Amino acid sequence: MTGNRIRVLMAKPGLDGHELGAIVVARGLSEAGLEVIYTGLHQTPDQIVSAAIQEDVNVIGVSIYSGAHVGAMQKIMGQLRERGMEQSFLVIVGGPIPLEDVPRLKDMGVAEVFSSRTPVKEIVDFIRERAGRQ
Amino acid sequence: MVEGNDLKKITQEQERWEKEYGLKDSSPIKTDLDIEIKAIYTPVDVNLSDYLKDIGFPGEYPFTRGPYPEMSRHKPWRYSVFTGFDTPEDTNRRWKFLYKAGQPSFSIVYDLPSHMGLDSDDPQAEDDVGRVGIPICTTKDIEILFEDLPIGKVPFYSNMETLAPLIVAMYIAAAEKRGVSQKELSGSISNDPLSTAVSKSTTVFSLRHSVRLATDLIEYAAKQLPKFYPINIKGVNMSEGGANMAQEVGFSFSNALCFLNEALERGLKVDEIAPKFTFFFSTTPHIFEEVAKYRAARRLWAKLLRDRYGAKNPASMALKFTALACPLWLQFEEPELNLVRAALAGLAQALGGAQATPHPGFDEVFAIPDQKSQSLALGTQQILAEETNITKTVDPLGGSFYIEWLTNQMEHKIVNVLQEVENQGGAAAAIESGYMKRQILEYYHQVEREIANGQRVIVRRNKYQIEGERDPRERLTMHKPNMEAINKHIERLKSLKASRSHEQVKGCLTRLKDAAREKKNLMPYLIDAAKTYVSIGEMTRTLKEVFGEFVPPALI
Repeated sequence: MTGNRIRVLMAKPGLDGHELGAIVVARGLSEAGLEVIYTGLHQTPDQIVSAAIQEDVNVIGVSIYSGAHVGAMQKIMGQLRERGMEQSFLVIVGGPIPLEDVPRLKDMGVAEVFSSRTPVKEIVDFIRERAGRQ
Repeated sequence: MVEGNDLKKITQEQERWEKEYGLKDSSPIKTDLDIEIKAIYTPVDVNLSDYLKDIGFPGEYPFTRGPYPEMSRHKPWRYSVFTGFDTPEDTNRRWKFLYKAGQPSFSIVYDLPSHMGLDSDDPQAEDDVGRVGIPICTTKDIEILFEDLPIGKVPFYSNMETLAPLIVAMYIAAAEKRGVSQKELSGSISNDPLSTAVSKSTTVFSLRHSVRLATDLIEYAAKQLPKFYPINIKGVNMSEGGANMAQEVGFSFSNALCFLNEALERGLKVDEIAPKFTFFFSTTPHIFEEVAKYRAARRLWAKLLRDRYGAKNPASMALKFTALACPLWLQFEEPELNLVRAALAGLAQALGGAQATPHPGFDEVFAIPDQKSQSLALGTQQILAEETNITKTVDPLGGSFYIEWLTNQMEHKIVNVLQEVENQGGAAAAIESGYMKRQILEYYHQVEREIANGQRVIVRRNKYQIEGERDPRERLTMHKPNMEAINKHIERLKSLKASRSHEQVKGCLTRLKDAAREKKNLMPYLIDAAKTYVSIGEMTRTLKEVFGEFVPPALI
């Protein structure tokens, strides 16, 4: 069973300390049966990508509350490209992201952007459908 | 007072009444703290014969009714709106608008790089400069912030934790440049790195050294800054991390005692230091519970200071607090309703006896509030203070059977939390082991479950939704960072750095580092550095070499 479970890295990049959203989603995903690894705060793009590789995850979930989403995602997606791994992970973003920035994030390769109000179940369904090994 | 015989009669009558209306059978109603609320309260529930001991008069022990005799009867509490975005220039323009609109104090939020001690030109700060607050790198930025505004005269409240002593040093340096002596500086600053080690994680140095640096500012202010409150224990950080009311106050008291103990270990006297302590709590629209929380907090703080610490000065025992509508309670769905939620919290704060109330913008769950939103927030406070007459008598809910009973219950719950932390070895130990954070998260996950299953009603979010309601982000004006201004601010910082004498800057930092090693009070060294325009990043890097860094625990 364990070998079959979808693994998700929940990541908090940069200086942002608003982590309640990340924690709630992490707990919700794990209650839904996904394997969740939480990076903790203040992670650099390099640390996030390295953790994703080391932990052999299917999904990288990035939680950003501070308005730094465009810069932060450019750096994380850049790191993935540099290592030739832009296709290796399903990358999703959550937070109060202004609507006009959503297409910009998707152009970078982000699969979906969830708002601070997306029910966790919706996120679980999305992950199962797109990263579905289960 | 109600005599024993009458109490018996009331009890009998209440039993009859409950039986007659079948009230015993109804399912119990509970508060967030698992306190069961009855249909009605009577003199039987509150022992008013202890009035003088438990309730007393405002301005006197046990301060249940308020820290000052007349509270806001003649002069409103200090209301404000938190401001801080893009650059010092942009924030200065907004402050001028608010000052003209009758705001009696300035409240500021800083951007994340400033909290963490990174200059705006630091590559690590790149995506965060000016985003959730204002960047302050050197004294120059404080000078710009107060341009054409009366520095020192209007209380200046700063939402800054570990690096509070650095910001106060810059505030002193900027004021002195304008000819205002530090003795005249009024205002306060959070200076509570313990709270941010539990939630928000903007604690910079190792916990022990963060506490030590915070205590340097408390000690310095007790001696040199008569009008300035150097610590504002941040219960609101606990609430934003998910805490309930008892955890908010209980953990805050534990943290306050940790700073107090540190000061006493230095040989300071409790009555020199304790009057300088203030608190910063958050308020939900649970009006009566909040009023009871504030009354209980005042009584408990007074008891702790008098009985445990032997304080003699009434000012040491009188709890003073700032209060903010709980940020977690503001919603995304039909956000204009947040005007109502915040106003109700504002009412609870006024009835609970707050000294200062920074009021949130209804739209700040999405982005930095614009001028219109801030004007509505300021006006809400002005209506509460001047149109409603709620301030005309002190503690108007005091004496209500329900409120007095609830105050007792609330005090009991807070005492339990405080006791638990002491069992863990005190605040610092309870934070380092992750105990406080785990407790808070456990409670908050329960709240989330109740919202998800509809047990806890949030209008428009899980009940009374409007069919086809569009995402509010489509119609709200969302603040966009002013990149041109931010880049100019960065360029100015670079040229300021280049214009300083390298020798002088190096001298300041060497003296600061030596003083940190020798465990001296760092305030004089920080003020010297601030006058030389040494930056927040340079000072922080230097201090990290001696103090080490805080690593937040990763818990879910």
